[in-house]
Amino acid sequence: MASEIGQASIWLSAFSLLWAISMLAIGLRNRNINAIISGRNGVVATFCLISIAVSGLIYGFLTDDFSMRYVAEGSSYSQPVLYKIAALWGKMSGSLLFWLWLIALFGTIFVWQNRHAKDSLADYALIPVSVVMLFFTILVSGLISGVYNPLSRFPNGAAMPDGAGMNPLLQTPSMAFHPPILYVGFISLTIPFAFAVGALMCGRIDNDWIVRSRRWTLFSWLALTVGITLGGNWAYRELGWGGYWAWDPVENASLMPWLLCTAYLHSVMIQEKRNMLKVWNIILMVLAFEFTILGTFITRSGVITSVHAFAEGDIGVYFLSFILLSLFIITGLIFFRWKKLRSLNWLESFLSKESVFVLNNWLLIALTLIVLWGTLWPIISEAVTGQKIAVPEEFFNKTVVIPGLMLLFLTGVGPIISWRKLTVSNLKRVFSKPIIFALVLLIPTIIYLFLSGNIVVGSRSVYTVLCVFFSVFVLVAIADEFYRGGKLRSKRHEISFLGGFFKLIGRNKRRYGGYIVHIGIVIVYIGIMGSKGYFLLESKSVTNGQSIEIGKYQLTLKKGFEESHPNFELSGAEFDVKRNGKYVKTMHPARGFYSQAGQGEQDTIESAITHFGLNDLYVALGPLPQNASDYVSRGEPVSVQVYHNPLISLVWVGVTIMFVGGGVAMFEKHYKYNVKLTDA
Amino acid sequence: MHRFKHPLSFWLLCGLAVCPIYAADQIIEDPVIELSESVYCPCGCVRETIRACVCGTAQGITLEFQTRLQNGETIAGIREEYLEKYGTQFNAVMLAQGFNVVAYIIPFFILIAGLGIVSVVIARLKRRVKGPAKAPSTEVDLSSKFNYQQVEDELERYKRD
Repeated sequence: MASEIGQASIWLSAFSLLWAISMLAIGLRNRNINAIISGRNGVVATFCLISIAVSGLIYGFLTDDFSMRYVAEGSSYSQPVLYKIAALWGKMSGSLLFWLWLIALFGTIFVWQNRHAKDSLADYALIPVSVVMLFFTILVSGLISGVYNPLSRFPNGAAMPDGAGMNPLLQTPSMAFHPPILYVGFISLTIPFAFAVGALMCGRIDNDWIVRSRRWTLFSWLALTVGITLGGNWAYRELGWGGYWAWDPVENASLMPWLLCTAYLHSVMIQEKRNMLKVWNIILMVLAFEFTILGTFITRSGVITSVHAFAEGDIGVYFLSFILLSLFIITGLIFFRWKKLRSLNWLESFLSKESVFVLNNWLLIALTLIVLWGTLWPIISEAVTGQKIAVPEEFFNKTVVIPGLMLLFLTGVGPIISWRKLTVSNLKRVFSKPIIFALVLLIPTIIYLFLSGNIVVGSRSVYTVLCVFFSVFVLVAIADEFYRGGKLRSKRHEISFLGGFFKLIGRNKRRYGGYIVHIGIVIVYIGIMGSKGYFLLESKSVTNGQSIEIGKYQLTLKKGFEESHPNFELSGAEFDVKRNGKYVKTMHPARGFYSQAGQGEQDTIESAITHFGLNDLYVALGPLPQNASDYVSRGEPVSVQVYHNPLISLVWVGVTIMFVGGGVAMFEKHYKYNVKLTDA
Repeated sequence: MHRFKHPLSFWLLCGLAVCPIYAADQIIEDPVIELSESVYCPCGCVRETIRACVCGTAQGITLEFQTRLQNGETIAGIREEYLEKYGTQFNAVMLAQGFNVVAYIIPFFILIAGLGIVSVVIARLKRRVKGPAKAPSTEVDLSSKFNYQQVEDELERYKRD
């Protein structure tokens, strides 16, 4: 019954959305408030209907209703409850339904937030929100070939005895949270996008749409940051290759909107402060949204091979059509409003904050395009040469590092350079300290590289030196900003320095939250530099009592072990770890054995990770039988891969700092900005 | 007031200075490692090289590589045979040769063309300020004044104190 009610709800929601779009259009055209309210209610009703459909599907998962096709394909009796719920977004149809539910939720929050708005901008913006919802409703309704309604049953009342179960690799807590958080990031971008389109529709191209969508944009950016990091963390823990980022097409698909969103968050400041770059900001927001759809297209169309992709049917055509059609309409709107989009102010100097933000945008856009180029290259190459190829990690590492390092430098220049024009006094006052500190700290870095034998002629050493120099420059520049500001506050209010420091942040949360984000980014850069540039890898087959050495660590195989879990069996090996000959830790890498009805027996890598300060020792096992203790005690060889990942913890620490900074910036109050709320 | 006359040339110089970074990083001395890092594992784990993959297939292939290298076969020969057997999509090295040159050139083009566009945009936005009536350069946005001017004033006061 839940299935039938859910399917009916999806169909009804299509009508509800058509109603909402029509009523909003009629109401806005005829200035009829009743029609507008009816349109808003249509969006809320859609949320209720989609919630019923989602509840029906979750009910199917929780009651193991294997007559429902989607439930049978994504769950099984033995699957823990957390993963039964996570199975909702585990495959194509359910993930689209979940996507739709999130847009409906955000649309409803949007309606509630703007219920007392004295102008029509929000109602104009509600039209694109509803159109996006309608597109996803059509996708999950089962009308498109190859994509079935996730609530549909098998024909003729058939039911599977047990479900196929979720892919064992996905049965981890981080995978239960990573996709929904990433979806939240993608989908919440719909609201700022809708504001931009709404502003174009009603012709109010002032700063209002930017201010009113700011919290949404920051929220999206934060969710994308956390979602991408959780994905990297999952890859690091589960895939057994000792890394967290492999430039996989689906990883790239999530990175590109993040880069564009970051560019937007910077360029938008120029519009607010100097009334410039209005067209550019609209284009950036539209692109950020379109790239979320492009990411969905890459994941689901099957055009590119990826470890994450789940392609079914010809859904890719619909995504591509949606992207092209929406871009066509928005381009038309931009031309229609061209006169209103012209800048009101001009640049006074190349060396100013405005110029730095423009350069920052150039680098972020360039990075986005390079990542897109590398992602699509297999298709282009195959079309031209007829040969299938995969773009290796090395290509991206070579092409993105230089713009990445330039961006790092601007991360420090942006906060300290003055608006309008850089004067000599400003140059001396704010730049001298960071540059001196960076130069001084460069010397021990070079000495360390030399003494540790890591100094080689080639890219790695140059990158390291540049990364250290820029990182110290940025950290000192920002610390100086905090110090000077905090000291001023404490003196002015006659309070302690710490009190002054917090008062400073509280007074301008957006600015200082942004600085905290910059600190986090620097720390992530250092983490990436260490873990990508200086990792060690040793692969060896060892028997009981034998050792494998990596750097100053020595791992000795002691014995095998087994463990029983509700949905899988663990079979692993125990290693004693010595550092410089002294025992420090025992590690337990293993293989997980999942037995699922539809997928037979599958094994996963359960790597063991030990933190030594900021560095990780990472151990993954090769194939191992289920009775590891017998196997090892017989003296059979165990294949083992050991990674030493220096500074990798800084990646996670840096992202946490970015999250805190983003959170601080999000709580800036709107009334602090000069916004004229006038009617359309 | 000090002015930087040629900022574009400064940036271009920076760009050119970092180009040598594209030089080869390090020489891998172990031929087995070199070979096993140059091809992807065909086990189904997308985009993991033979060296990085911990599956049984990768182990078998590594052993095969070892044996064949000991028998005097060349890295290039083994690689070629491997790619013939499994397909060119298992090639983990994308040399800047043939059509792949385009793949490596375009990112440079994006960077340089982008820089060109940005320079033109900045130059145009700057030129307008010299125009007679169009440029309200003395008009300062209130919020800008609030954030910047106030901190500057406070700094001055602090220095005086």
